[in-house]
Amino acid sequence: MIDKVNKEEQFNKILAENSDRIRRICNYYNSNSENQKDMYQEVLVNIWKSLDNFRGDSMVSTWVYRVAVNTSLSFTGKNFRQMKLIVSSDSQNLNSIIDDESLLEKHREEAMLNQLQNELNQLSVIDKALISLMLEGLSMKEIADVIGIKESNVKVKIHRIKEQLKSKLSGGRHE
Amino acid sequence: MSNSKISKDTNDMGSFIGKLKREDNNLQKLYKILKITYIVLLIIYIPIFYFEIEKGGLVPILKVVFIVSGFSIFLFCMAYAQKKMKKISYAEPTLMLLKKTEKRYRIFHPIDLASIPAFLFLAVGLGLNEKIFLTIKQFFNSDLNWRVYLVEAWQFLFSGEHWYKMFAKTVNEFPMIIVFMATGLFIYILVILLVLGYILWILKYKPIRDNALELIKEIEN
Repeated sequence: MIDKVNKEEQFNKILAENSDRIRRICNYYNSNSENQKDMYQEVLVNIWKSLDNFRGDSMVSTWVYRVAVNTSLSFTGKNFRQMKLIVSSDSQNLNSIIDDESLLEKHREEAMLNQLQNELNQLSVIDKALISLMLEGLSMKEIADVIGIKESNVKVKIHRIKEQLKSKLSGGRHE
Repeated sequence: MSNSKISKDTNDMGSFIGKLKREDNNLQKLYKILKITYIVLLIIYIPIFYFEIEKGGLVPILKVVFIVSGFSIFLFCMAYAQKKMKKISYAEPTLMLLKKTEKRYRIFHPIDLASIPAFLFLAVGLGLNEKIFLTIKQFFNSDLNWRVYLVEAWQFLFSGEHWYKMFAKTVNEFPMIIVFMATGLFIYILVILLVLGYILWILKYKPIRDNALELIKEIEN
């Protein structure tokens, strides 16, 4: 449990080290800059509120990702089914989703990226959350810690998403 | 804290943190106000309890016991709810957070049952006097069985005769009506509260629980 006197200090430290991470997660879920800003603030509010219960059992970055992903699920509220996942050509670890280099080359082109974007948005909410964490470069173990399921389950889910995306993007050749 | 309120502070972290601190303080203030309310009530009631008990007899003691029990149960329920609210953390694994959300927004929690005796104890404690006590005693000594008692109580709500007796101040002629009246009103208030609670749950909390259930299913699938 964090000492109340140190709460502000701890908050500032977490923010200084994780601000970019939080912004990226917010950008994945919102195309509109105002919404990104609102969600960023919502994440900060939830980090502040959750700091009292921070016991240091997990890495700070994992803890921050948990708050960010959980906030994204509640931030979209009733419209969570329509929640978008926004990726751009400069998204980190894009190759982790499409591990076919030649296909990845093609999809670096704008039109193909749009197709990828469309396919990503067909995914379920939880699959979108998994993809956003993959794009952040988290290991399977870390993703499992954030979502709260077994590492083996994460592997199965991500494999299934990748296969689904490959199949859709290559016009069904992989099925 | 609404986003619109803090939107101006995006680039002003000092002011933003100030607002966060105020948010914490507001919550603590609310808890403090509730505690102070109970302390004030206790301070007011202690001399009342003292004078009541000084009068001697069983009724004043029963009054005090019922009021203290009612307040204590309410206090316990509120403390429990506060403790649960404080435990809500967005930093838990998503699946755990969703499961807790689903539990929190269920329509019925066993702890809610505690508010029924609390309400009943307070109603009895605040309304009890010698006359009512004797009436209740008479009621328990009478041949009236529970089924007839409940039917009478239920009829009180709809029967013009009972209302007439009450308004015509003929209660003295038929003191048992006080028991029926109290039971009837108690049932009436309870039913209204249950219906209002159900409507509130359908409109406000059921969608949240449904969303949580859907996401849990998706994660565990």
